[in-house]
Amino acid sequence: MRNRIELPSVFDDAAAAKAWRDAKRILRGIRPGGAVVLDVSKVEKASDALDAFATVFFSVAASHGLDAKTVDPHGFASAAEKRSAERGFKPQPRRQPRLFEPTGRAMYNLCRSLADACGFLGETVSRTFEVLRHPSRFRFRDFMAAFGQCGADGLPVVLSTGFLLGLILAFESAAAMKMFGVEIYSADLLSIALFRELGPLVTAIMLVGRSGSAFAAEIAAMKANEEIDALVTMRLPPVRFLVLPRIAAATAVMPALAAGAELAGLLGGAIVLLAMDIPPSMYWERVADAVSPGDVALGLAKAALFGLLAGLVGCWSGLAAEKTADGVGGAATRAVVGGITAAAVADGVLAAICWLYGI
Amino acid sequence: MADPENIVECEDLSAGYPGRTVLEHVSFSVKRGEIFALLGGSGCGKSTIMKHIAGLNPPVAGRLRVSGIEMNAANRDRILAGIGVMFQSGALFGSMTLLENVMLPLEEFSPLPPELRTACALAKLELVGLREFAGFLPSAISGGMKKRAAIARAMALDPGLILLDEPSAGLDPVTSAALDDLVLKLREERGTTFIIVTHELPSVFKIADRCAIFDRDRRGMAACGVPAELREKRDDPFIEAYFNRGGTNGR
Repeated sequence: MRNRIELPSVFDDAAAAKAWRDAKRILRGIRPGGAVVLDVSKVEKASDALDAFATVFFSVAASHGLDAKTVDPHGFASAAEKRSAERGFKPQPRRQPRLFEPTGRAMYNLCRSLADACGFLGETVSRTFEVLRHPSRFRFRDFMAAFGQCGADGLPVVLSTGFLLGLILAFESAAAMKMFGVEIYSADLLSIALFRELGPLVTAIMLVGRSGSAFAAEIAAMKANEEIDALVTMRLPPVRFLVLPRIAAATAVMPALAAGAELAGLLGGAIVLLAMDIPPSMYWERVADAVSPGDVALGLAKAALFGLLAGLVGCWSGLAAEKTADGVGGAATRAVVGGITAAAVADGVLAAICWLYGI
Repeated sequence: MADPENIVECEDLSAGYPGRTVLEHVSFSVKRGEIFALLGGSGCGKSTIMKHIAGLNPPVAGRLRVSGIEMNAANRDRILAGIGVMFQSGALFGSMTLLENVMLPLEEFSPLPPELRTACALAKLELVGLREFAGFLPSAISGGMKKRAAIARAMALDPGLILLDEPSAGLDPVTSAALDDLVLKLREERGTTFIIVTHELPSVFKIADRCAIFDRDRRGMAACGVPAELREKRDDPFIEAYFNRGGTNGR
């Protein structure tokens, strides 16, 4: 008979693989309403694959609307047949094209996380005022720990990045300007770029990568370990305890780090121009001429803002994390991506404002 | 009506999280000075109820009063002032020593001067037998010690009610029995009420005055009463099965 699937006497996993290929072909060839027989009578020895085979056979036959029977004197497939009979025939519901549901869900989740972020921001502001009114409530020890983690620990990497940035920028610009014999002006370019834009931005990227992610991972791990819940039950607001010291530290340390990166960058530039036979005194004179105190102040203010953003995004990522090990990793990733994006967007907005007001 | 003898009162409470109700129509009360156990299979919602009592999640529906005060966002801090919680993992702050962990609530809320605070925190650690470990970080001590330190921290402000989430989980029988003795001692000496979420039937029979058993299948409370009496009940197959599984241990 054509609609008959016969299983061999030794039905191991390899036999199951071959039998299933044949069975699929046979099942596909039968019209809905037709009958199909699974013949297990020859089977003498079977692995668990037989139960799996029979289960899938009945389920596929049912979904194709076939009348499935077995010839099974030893009862090898009886458990699967019983399960299938208990479930009964359920036609597969036709899959509706889904367009609105995922879109709606995504929008809902977006709005929810925005609302949560606004709540977090609001609480941070209100806790900041609380701490300003009662300075003794500020966790100074945690602030110092975070300050050390962001500042002293991060200084070597920030200085070396700044130095290399200055070196590369000076080299690239001086090489081009040398054609016109004005390579000395690369000191102007370098100092303005470093103080106004690149110093704070590159330092912010380093801070986000080092400390923003660390804030997020620490807080997310505390959440997974129920420590945040413990704080809440002890009436100790997590924002005041965990968030304020960290964002205060990031905000306070960033101008110092950025200043270090800027000076290291200038040093890198000096070395390049020295190699191009420009005396250091002339170089430093150009730098002093090109950079106004306003540029320096703007750069440092930007750095403080980027530090604040890195701290906020890092802490928020940690507090919003799932209470799992995956949640910790995800929080660190979100802190880095979100922190760098926030710094870049803020830099763009500030650049536009400076241009508008001629700063 | 709120009964002043009751420290916790649940009335027709639905426990769960936004969009997911785990238990419905739960009503029970816990008297002052009582040791009350919340029992049931994994995922039945007993820890969820404890989180509602600890003010971590609001109940889905129904009423929950702690010390006669209705649990809601406005009253939460007032209620929490009288509650200490020990979490399953201990939830000690990893960057602080045991002493600093116990000092934390004292620093924030105690009117004591700093030098007395330290002595007070050391006394709490002494009570749980960890005074000589006061300067240790949580990572340097065993699981049982962490739980004892967490109990010391939960007791820091001498709350009238202490919630213990699976105190015996992951502990050897001797350490687990020592924790039971500690709970009995604290109740004896201070009249503290304990609500304990546990799977440990021997411990329930040893220390609990009453217990509530939750059943995931019926999404509600199966019974509430004295453990030894519930064990003899034969009219509810779930309760019978629940106690029989551990009955030989419990006897």
